[in-house]
Amino acid sequence: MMEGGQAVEIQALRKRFGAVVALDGVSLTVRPGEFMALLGPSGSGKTTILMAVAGFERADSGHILIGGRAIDRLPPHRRDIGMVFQRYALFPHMSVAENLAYPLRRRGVASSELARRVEETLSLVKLEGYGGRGIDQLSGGQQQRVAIARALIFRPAVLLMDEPMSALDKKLREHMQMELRLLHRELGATIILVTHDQEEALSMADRVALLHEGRMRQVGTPAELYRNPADAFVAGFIGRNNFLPIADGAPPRVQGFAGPLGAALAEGSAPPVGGHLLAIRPEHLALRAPDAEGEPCRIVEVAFGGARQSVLAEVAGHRVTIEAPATERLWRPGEAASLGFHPRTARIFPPSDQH
Amino acid sequence: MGGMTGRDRQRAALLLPALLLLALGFLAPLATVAWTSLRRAGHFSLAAYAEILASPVFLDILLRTLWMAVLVTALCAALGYPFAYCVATRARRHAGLIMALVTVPYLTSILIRSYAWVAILGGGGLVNRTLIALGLIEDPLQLVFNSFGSYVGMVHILLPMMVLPLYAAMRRIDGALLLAGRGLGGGPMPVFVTVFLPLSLPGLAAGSALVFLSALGFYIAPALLGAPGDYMLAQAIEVRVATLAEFDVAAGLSCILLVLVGGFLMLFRRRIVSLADDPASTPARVVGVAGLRPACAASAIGAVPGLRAALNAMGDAVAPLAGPLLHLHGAALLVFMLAPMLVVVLIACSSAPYLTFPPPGYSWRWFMALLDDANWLEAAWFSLTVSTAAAVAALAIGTPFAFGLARGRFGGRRLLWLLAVSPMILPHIVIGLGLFFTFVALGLNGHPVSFWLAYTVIGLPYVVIILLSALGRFDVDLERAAANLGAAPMTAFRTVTLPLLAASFVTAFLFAFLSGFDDLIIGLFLSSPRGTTLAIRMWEDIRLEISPKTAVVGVVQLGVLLVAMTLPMLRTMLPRRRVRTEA
Repeated sequence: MMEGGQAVEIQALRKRFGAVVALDGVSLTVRPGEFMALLGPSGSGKTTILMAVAGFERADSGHILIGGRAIDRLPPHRRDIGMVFQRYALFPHMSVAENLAYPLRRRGVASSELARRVEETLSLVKLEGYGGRGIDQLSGGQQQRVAIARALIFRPAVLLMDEPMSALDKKLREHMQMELRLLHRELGATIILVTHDQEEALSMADRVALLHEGRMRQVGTPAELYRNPADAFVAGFIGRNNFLPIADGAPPRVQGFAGPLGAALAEGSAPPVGGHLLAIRPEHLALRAPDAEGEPCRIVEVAFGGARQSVLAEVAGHRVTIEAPATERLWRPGEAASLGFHPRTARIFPPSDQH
Repeated sequence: MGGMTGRDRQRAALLLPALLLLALGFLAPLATVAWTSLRRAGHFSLAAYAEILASPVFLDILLRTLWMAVLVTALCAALGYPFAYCVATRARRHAGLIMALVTVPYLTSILIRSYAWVAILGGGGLVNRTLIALGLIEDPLQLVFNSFGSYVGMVHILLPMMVLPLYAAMRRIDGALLLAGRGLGGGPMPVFVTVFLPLSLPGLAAGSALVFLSALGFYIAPALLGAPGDYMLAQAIEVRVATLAEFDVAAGLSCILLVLVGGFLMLFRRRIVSLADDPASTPARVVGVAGLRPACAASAIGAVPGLRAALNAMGDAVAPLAGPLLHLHGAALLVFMLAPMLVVVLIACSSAPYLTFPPPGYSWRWFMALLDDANWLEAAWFSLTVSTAAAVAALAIGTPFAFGLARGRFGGRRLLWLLAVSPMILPHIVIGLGLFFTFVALGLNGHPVSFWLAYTVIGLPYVVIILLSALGRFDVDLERAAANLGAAPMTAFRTVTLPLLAASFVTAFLFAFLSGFDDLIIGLFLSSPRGTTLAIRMWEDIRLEISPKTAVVGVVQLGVLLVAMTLPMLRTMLPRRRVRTEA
């Protein structure tokens, strides 16, 4: 029902709140019909971007363009952007149908057309027959569907979502994430989703923009961010990672390790320099029998997880986490083992930008 | 304010109408009082103060005023604490109803309530007749027109001011904390002393501050129920003006009262701010900070082994009795709160030609008499129109003020809040005197406009407090959602903010209206042949002949207000508005 999404361009946005710099020159281009997740810890500036796009905050400098048109001077009610609020912000004094009709009424849609579109949108979010219900008569998941329906019904060029899943329990959240993916595919809308939940961002979005302290750290597909992080912060924020210091001298090795790095480094990684950090993901470490080739280590703790086991081990004074298949051998605390790298998986980062 | 954004400046502008009103109708009159107190025979003079300080009765009056205020505060605390505790912890299911009943006396004027106490405590009143009938006494006891009568009347009027903040503080206490205390090995008594009591102290402090400040400026109850010679400061001021026409001395006394109340107000500022939904601080933080010091003291008590053992033993001994005792106390206090209302109804329906209780028979004669009395009807009409106009103005001025204060981010908001609510806290006798001086100078005294302005000023605090509290609970995202969905600011206000805050607007209007309609003190200064309020008619009636007409007014007022209060409840039971989605 949305006639294709429009591009959103954010150009060098700056915003200060008193002494706090919320946005420090952030730029981002969201393609038409793209599902973009703004990911970051709290205070990273992701919500400020959303508020600036919706028109509730005015940036100190920079521009926002939708479909190539600057909207900086438009008040919120003339921007034609759909928004799903964190706590939904459904009008409690109106029925479900009245909530949906609200944006149509503001746009002077004729009442026959209005009723038809309310029905149509309700069926889009699988809430047929719920029009007469009060908001307080709906479950959390139903309220979220109404919030989405209300944001879509006036066919906005862009849909903004502010942590829309945070109020739902885990099962419902996973269900709604799938539904939202399907809805996005069906409508071809441009969606910008703000979230601090990386699993949500990685599983739902076409691309993820990772923010930290008001700066854009990396924009890319979920796989790019996971496999090819731009810096140590991204490497540490997305998924889990072990950081090990590189020793001075040649050939390059991890401090305290007997063997050199060999073929461990991934393609495109920076060269290993003494004092830099080696980032290696838990699933890229291999535990073998103590007599096998590798660094000698000792198992500290083991968490069994069905198909996999999460192992904490001590190696040359470092603690590392290893994600190992649980199909072959179950490790026990106190056991000796040998630790190895999967080839071409580790990356090197200068230590300064880890946080 | 260099860091102020354009939006903040717009919000600050919302405060202007209220600030203008307060400057003209509140600050200027107070300044006039101070000015008058320093002038005699057209020159600067401290003669008024010299006279006051030289007068042997002044110190008596001052000490009596302070003493009565302290005693009334202590009585309210002693009676109100167990009551609020019982409602908050043991009668939670009926708490809403009970607290509504506690506020019912608030809805009738102090005048009518004091009048009812004369009927209850008088020589031929309910209490004495009952005691004589039971054979306990032979001659009626002197229960009224002495300090006992004053105390009863003042405690009755001020008790809700103590109970409401106490109850609010107690409701905020997390029940899990008490369970945790029990789980950590505390008996009921130590847990109460070390956990509940410290956490409820902010409510006690706020209630005590309010009661004490109000008691300092009390006029009606002591004047009607107290001994003729036992003046409090407010009465002394009234006598100087009405009987002696010593305006500079009255002004001097007013300044002393004002400094007294103002000084204590600044002292108690934080306590009072904590009870209102102050925009600058969350209740949790207030409770946290204010509760910290007493909590430390209480835990120190708990740490003394002997004391702890004594508390435990006391708790075990009292525990089985505590429940029944609390409920008995609660019930007795409710009867005390509501008895005057009931008595007013019975008196209004009396067939006797004079005030007597219980009435010898029942009839509508006093309702008829009131309807036939052109003076009373005229006064009623005058009160109604002036108070309605004032409530409308207070709402129109107070609404932008509350929005500006709630949504703006500029310095000095706490002080602005205090300024706007101080016409409620400072003694009305001083405000009345100031308005009297001001309006006389302007040639407006007694003109309906003077009443309208005065009642707008004293109605404003209620509007500000009620709307600020409602706005504190209002989710701003709802307004943002409306804007996001295409509503221009005024449309968003009309379709979302206004309907959701409607109940608060009605409540604010009602309280602003009542503050004017029930006013006696300011009216006494402003009244003239050009305008007399119903309260003044009742006051004169009570002082001269005491007919049941006043009771009839009380009943009508009570009836109207009860209907007004229940109407919103009925509305929520109606089915909600629907969009017809059937095409």
